[in-house]
Amino acid sequence: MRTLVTSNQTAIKARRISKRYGGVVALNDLNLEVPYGCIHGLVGPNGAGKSTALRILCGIAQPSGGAASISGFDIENEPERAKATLGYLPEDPSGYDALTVQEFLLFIAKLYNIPRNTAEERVKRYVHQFKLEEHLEKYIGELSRGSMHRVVLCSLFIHEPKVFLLDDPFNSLDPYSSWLLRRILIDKRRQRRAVLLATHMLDIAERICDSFTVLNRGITIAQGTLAQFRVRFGPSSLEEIFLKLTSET
Amino acid sequence: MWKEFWFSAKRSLTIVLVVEVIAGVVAVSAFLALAMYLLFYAEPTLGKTLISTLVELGLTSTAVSDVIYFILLLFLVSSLVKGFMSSSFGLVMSRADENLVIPSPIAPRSLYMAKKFKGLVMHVLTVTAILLAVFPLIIQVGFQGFELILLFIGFLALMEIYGFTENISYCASRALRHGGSRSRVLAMIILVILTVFIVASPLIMLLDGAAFRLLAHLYPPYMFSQMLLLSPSLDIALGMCALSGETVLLFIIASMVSKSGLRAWVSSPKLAQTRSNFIGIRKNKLIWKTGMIGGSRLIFAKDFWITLRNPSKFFVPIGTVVTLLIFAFFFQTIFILPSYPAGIQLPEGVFLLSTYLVTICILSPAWDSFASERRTLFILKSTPIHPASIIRGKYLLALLQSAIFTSPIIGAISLVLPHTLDVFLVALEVALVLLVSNSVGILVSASYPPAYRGMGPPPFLILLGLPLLCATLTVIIPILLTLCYGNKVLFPFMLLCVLAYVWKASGSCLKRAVQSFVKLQEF
Repeated sequence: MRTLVTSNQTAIKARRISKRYGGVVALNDLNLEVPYGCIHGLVGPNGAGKSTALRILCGIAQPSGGAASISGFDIENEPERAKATLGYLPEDPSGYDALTVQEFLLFIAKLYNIPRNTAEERVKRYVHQFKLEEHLEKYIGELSRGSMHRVVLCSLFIHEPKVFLLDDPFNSLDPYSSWLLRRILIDKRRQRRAVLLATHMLDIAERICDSFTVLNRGITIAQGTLAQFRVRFGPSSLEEIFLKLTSET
Repeated sequence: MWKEFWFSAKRSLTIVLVVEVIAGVVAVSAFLALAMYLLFYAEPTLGKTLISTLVELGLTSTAVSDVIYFILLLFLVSSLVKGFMSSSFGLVMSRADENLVIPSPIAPRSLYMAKKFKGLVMHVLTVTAILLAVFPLIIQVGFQGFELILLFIGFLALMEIYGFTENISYCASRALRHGGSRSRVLAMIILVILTVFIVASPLIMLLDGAAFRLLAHLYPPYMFSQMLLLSPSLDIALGMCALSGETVLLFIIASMVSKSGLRAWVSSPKLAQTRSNFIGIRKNKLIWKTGMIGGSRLIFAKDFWITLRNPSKFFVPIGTVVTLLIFAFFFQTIFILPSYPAGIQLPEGVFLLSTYLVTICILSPAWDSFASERRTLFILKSTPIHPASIIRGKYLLALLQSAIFTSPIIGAISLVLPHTLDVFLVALEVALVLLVSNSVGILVSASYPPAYRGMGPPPFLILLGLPLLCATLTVIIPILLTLCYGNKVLFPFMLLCVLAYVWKASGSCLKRAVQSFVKLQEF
């Protein structure tokens, strides 16, 4: 795998990353460049390769080819430095059942070497924002799926990453949490953080994303802003454009 | 009722493939034909049979009888293990039946009866094939009609008991997986024990006796009736193998029994409060720290508290060790040792070997290291903690756990075993074996996490292969140290060599574990 050289403005860079599982191509030559202060939507049907792309970018999966970097650090050659700047939310997040919510959040903070006082202050802030006060002393194993999701989201914001990789983050969130997450992500964009958002919820993506990559069966079928898509497909919603694009391929 | 049963049975029999029966009978017959040929009928062509070779080597009548008894018992234990690990109703229902046939308009009772009927047909055919294979011998020995019927029924009953054991074992494990009530699980365990030790034993003895009578007829009686050992070294070797084999079997039974019992105890609502208090150790008072060993300390601390707060993770292995010791004590001192020929002193090596095998078998903490991270792997993989720190943290915890679990065994040895055996030596050997074995466990866990647990029952071959791998890598340690123990010049030198080997072997396993962890994706 080649090492990528990126400019200071590029938060996420992927060059021709691909992933094969035996004979099955999960992701084929994905090129991606997300600058700071941008929310980029990764959209596509089931099995399009969105989760695979995110797992490669955060270092969970190794690509079969290509190179990727986060905040200028190559994810394969400098994984610890790259990971120190990113926050990843998987599709089906989970925590350690035998730890309480508070213990879990402080554990995650310690993984990022955040001083205890700062960590406690951030835990307090985000727990309040996500309305998790009543769950703070509960064990992770006792939480519902929605609460679990909110706890892992909290753990993500506690170490204040520069780059967010979010896999279907609005899934299983209640309306308030969904609204809150949208607001936080917009705030993060204002703070010049980069967000890569893989989602099925095209209406939300249309509202908050600045640019998009549309994947289908591992192949990039379109990339650009909504305005650029509208030049090509006429004045349509993202959903209509998405349906046209996926039916073409 | 019978008409309905017959038609549904017929239909179900068609569904579950007649081919299965034919293929089974052909396979069993071919295997039996080969086995019987080698055992009894190979003399005209090969010049000798397997039995005559063993007799020439000095095998005694007691040993022959023990071997047959042991094989039949082994089948029984394998049924027990197979049922416990199975994901479907063993001999009666397959997974396909559960998912496809049960939703179809066939009464479950009829399906069960039909499948049972099919199983019975299979068993009758198998027993007939066995008896046909030894028929010439039966005629020579002069078995009477009643004895033949008894033999037939005995074989058939034993096969049914094998199936029954497998199914009961499956039911116990299913009840555990689905949170069955404590009394139900315990009742099943008692039923399994009764089946194994009370119902099956007389049947095994009956068949063992019949087989012995056939063998005694085939070979001159004086070769089988004499109690003097023709070859003491062979008998000691056989004794060591039998004792070690029995130790492993006892471990498996004890492990399953204690796991079942303790899991049921743990899930008991009456004890929920006690459990809650136990789990709540230092609730919200944990202070996460990274020390001199970096992130390893953090990972160690996280896993330590998770283990301590999980009663099944903590109590089950301890319970297994205690149950094993009780089982082993009773069986070895009451049943096995007195049955040994008079005048034979079992060498200390036999006990050392038993301890060693138990030590190997007890390494579940290391094999379980990454299986328990199945849903949280993303945390370890996406945070800036070095993979080596993760592996080190997990290795240290596995060492601590296995040291805690093996201490009672060393303690028991010091109480039970002959005074000539030095407990220091046993402790040293166990410690060194644990260093290597745990590193192998971590490597396997990082390479293939579901091997021990996680996604359903572990593949049987892996479950057996892991102790074998550990045994292969570590067997040299107790042998070398025991041989040189007492020699003031050689022992320190050998100890240094062994330490170097342990350092190198565990180091390279851990290094490979780091590489495997980097490649580890989802499982």
